[in-house]
Amino acid sequence: MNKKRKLQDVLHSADSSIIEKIAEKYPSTDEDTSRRMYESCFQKMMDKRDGSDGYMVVFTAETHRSRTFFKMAGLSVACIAVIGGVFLGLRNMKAPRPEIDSEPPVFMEETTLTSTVTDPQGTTVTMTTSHSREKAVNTAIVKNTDTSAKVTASTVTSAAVTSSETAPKHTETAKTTAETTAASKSETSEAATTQAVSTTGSNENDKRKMYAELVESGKTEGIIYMRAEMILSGKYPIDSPRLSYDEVMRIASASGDIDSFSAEIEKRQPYPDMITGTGIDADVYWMNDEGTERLESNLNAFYYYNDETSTARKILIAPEQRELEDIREQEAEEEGLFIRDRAKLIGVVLKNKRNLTLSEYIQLAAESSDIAEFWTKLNDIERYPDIWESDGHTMFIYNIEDNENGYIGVSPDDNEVTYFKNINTISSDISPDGGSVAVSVKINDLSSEVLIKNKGSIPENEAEALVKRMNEVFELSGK
Amino acid sequence: MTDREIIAQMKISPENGCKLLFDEYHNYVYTIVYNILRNVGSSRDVEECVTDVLSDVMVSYDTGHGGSLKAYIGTSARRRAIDVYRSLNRKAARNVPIDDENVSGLTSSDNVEENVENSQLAGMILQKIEAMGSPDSDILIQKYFFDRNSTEIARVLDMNPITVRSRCRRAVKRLKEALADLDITL
Repeated sequence: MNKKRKLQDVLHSADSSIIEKIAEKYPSTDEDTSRRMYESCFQKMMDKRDGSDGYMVVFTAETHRSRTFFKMAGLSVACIAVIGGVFLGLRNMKAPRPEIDSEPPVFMEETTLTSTVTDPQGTTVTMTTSHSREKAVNTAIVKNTDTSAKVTASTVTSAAVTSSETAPKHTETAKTTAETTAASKSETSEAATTQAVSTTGSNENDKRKMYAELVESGKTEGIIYMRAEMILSGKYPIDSPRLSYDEVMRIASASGDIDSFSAEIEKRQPYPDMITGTGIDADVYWMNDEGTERLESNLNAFYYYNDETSTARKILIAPEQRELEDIREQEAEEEGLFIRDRAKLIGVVLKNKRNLTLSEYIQLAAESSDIAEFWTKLNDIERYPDIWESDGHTMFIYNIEDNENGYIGVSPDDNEVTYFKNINTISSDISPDGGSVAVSVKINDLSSEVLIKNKGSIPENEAEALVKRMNEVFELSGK
Repeated sequence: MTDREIIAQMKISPENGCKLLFDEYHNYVYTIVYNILRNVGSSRDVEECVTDVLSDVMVSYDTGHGGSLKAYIGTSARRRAIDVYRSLNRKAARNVPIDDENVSGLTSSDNVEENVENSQLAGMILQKIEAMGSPDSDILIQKYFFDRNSTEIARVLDMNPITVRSRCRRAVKRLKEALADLDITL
């Protein structure tokens, strides 16, 4: 299969005869640049004449050599400095001398923890353990000048404090608690083991408790917490894996249509975390325990949300991904964002929604007293322009249903509406009769334009609202 | 303006000679230099290199030599651009071995065939672009050879940026159709 070549690559790899042709026929710089270059060229010529009497090659070579020399010299000095630094560092490296903090130690009050333990026979034993964080604080106040020593000290502190605060939740801490309390019990080892097991299971208990609360709250909110319900009823294992973003994207890339995507998602995770909505249900699959990262189905589409990274995007299945690639290719060619196509891709504009015809645009202009009114009316009909050009000069481009090559350009910077006409179209076709908007027909050698200008301005908040809408579409469809 | 006239002016009046040389050849030099430096240098680097080449020619060219001024300038431009290319690459801590003639991407003998083919293709593409007529052909060359956006193209061609966009859109569409059978993407 022949590999497709990019036009740029082919042109740039042309031989000198082609380059010569391009140079002969096409300008390479604008006038200002040419002038600037000429002035610089002239100045350089004068400098060279004055300085070296024409032996520029020698001069250039000398400059180059001296630069290289200084570079090498600088590099050598830097190397010596680094080696010296490392040597001195190694020589002076001893065990960090502990430095006693002058701040008085903060003594913490005793904390009493109560934990419930179930022994293998099913007897529940309640134990009360007293912890003092004094030791931890004493450890923490010994500081070292060495960074790693500091880190160790603070780790000790943190671990000690954590063990006091979260003892019931963590297995490791539970072992500590068990060790502390073991002395007061006759069956030391058995009690310790039992408590550890019980504490590990308490995570599961906590989850079950949380799920029960969720299900309860769902009843008042009209939300079905499906996964929680199934887990509580014992029909679905509590440790069932959740979908990950990568997994979802893999499924999407392998799916030819939304039904097969949906079926595959259901296969991987049969019960969504939430089913919301009235009439039309939306399934929500949490991708973490907090639900801050999730996959949501809505009508015939799936959306991915991540609250932590403020990400929202539609999941595009294989054919849509190809469509997006085409859109991106066109965007690169035409230096604008194809907002309407993107909006159609994510389903906020119906696929078969048509553009306005030329006469409809002209009528809209003729019936508007100023550009603000035209803009408002246009936005009521067309929520998104076809193309958003923001390359130096912002322009919203609206295609014309009955003129493939023409389009309407709305420039919020210039408060101007322009009709870019097909070069073969006769100008009199588009001249409207009457109307209160200043409409003029401009004919030049390139195209005919109907301009609406010098009639008010597009309200800033409305232009901003459109930009916001377009940004949402851009993000949802995938940057 | 012929080479002989330019050389004559260079002898009589360096100022006039410089102006004539610049007007006649700066486009040529810029195109050569741009093609070599486009991936490594900024537009400033290109401009700097062009002015270096032309000022060197003014100072160093042996007016009694009698050879082709254009060939001399072309070779000087290529060599200087390659020097700059190497220097810019060195700055980027890379030492890319390149020969005078193969800077634009030829790194091994495996590419020879492809390069020849590309060159032939480039000739065909250029013909197709030229057939589209001005200003479409001008816009397309600015866009695809000089990698410029509409605003920059408008500045070079002294056109309205909006008009450039409009023309460009149509020209690209036509070019796409014209290149469909050549396996070329835009």
